[in-house]
Amino acid sequence: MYRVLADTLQPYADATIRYFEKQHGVVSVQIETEVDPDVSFRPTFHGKLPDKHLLCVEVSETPLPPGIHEFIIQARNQNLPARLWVVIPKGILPAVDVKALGFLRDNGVGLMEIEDARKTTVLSGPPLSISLTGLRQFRITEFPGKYRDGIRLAIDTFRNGNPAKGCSELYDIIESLTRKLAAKASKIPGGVRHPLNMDLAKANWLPLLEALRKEIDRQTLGCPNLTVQLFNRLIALTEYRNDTGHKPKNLEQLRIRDRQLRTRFESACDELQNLIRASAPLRL
Amino acid sequence: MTVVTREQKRGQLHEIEVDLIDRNPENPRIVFRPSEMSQLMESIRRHGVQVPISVYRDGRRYVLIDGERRWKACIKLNKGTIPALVQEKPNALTNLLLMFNIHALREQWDLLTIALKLPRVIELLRGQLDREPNEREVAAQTGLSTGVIRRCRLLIELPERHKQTILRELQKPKSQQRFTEDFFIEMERALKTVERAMPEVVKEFGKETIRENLIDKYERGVVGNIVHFRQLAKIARADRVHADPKRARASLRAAFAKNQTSIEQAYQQSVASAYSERDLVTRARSLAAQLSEFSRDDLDAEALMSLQELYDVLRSLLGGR
Repeated sequence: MYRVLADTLQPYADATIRYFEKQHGVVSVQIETEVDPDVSFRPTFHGKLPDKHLLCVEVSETPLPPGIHEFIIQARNQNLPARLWVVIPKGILPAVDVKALGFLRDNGVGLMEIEDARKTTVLSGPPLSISLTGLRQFRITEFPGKYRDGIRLAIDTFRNGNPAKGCSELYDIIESLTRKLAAKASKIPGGVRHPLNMDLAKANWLPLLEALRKEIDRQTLGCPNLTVQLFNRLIALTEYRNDTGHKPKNLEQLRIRDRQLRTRFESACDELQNLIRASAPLRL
Repeated sequence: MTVVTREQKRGQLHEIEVDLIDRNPENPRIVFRPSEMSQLMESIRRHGVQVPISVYRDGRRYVLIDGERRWKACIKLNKGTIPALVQEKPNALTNLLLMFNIHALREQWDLLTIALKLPRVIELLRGQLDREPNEREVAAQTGLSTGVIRRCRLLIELPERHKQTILRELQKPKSQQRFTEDFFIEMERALKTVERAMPEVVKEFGKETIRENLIDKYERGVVGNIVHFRQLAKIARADRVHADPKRARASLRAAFAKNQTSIEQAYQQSVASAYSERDLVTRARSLAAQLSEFSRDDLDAEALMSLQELYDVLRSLLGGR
């Protein structure tokens, strides 16, 4: 039973619940109740999606309902694996509200028009998990042009619901760069103190990084920032290189997994940038 | 689960869980505009609930007497509790009148929401008094003025679909409302006068058809302002200014029909000059009465000059008579 939602919107909310139950397999729908004790906003209703995510739906007459900004920020801070939809009755939007649509898209919020449970129009979406959209904003332009597509793809993969694969794509870029670094350093006389006795294209990543840490001569290479500390941090990344983890069984596991992967992704992105800058004199 | 965290005497302040409170089914207020809710939510988010709500206890739960918007905002903001004054459970009439009086003294509700609840107040008062309460009694009990009650009655008598139109409009911010309570009140007042003075014209079209046509004209901009409805009443009372009733009826028909004739045009074509003439006569009599209180010595040069100008105009108008 609705206590807050306007009477005029209640039939639309009922139709929306029927739609999500039928089309998205949502269960355990609760109306205007708490989503998380640390989130000071109760959406019109929320329920559980088959992929263990929370579905939060705000039925409103406007694409940016009051309180929605705070909900997104707090849900993000709490790492809430929730997909948020704003649902508006059909015919309310006088014209396409570019600003509102932009905000919703940037924050991974879905926007849907509804006439009844069988007549819906998705204006923006599908929504992304809020816990994943909380990924730090990266300035792609700060990376050299040849890396931008790969990094953009990794970020999109991460935000679009496959964070483990997003991380993996980023590790691929870093690994590829370290292999190029090893090859170039080996070709430059004095670039490595002792020859790297391994197949630089196929050897495991960890031994390759350990060999680089030990043998690289940054003075000769003219790369003072290729420090032992940088290689140590890169070595730390290899622990998670092939760690896709177990499939989360419940919301809490999903929340923990997303938080860990977000940290790993952000950290890997930082180290990629450090490695690119440190090896820049070698024109890899 | 703690029902009341700070248990105190009845009638004093308690912190009550928002989920233990129910809406009062008798609350006349049914429209909560999103823009206004948004402002309140922002205020509560920043400063908390500064004014406690009022509730009464009903078993293990509480029922709202005052503060539905604050309560709704607290639910939306996921506030666990809300400060509330717990009062004795009132009887049905007191329950309703309490809400009317709280709002009559503080914030004015939308008129239609009062109108929809007024028959219930009258019914309960009838039961208490054992007779039909008069307008003054209803006014005294509810804290509303008799003028507001009369306006409410006009809205109560509207067909259901027009009430629904108003309800839909009331959900919008005030600045965007078009078919407002005032629109219907002005139209209904005018139609009532026409019905009394020239019933045959209303009968000819049917009251609902007239409403539909006037709504259509307002929508198309043929009727530009809701105060123009007052001119319909003036046309209907053509006899008061000795205007031709035949022409007045024809003008009303034109104004009521589905066409391009505006109320202003109908007014100009029928009774406008008669009303202007009556206005002129009233002013002339008033001026004459005022002038008779002066002697020549009381007037300064400027006043005398103005009177001379008036005299010249009058002499020219009257042709030397």
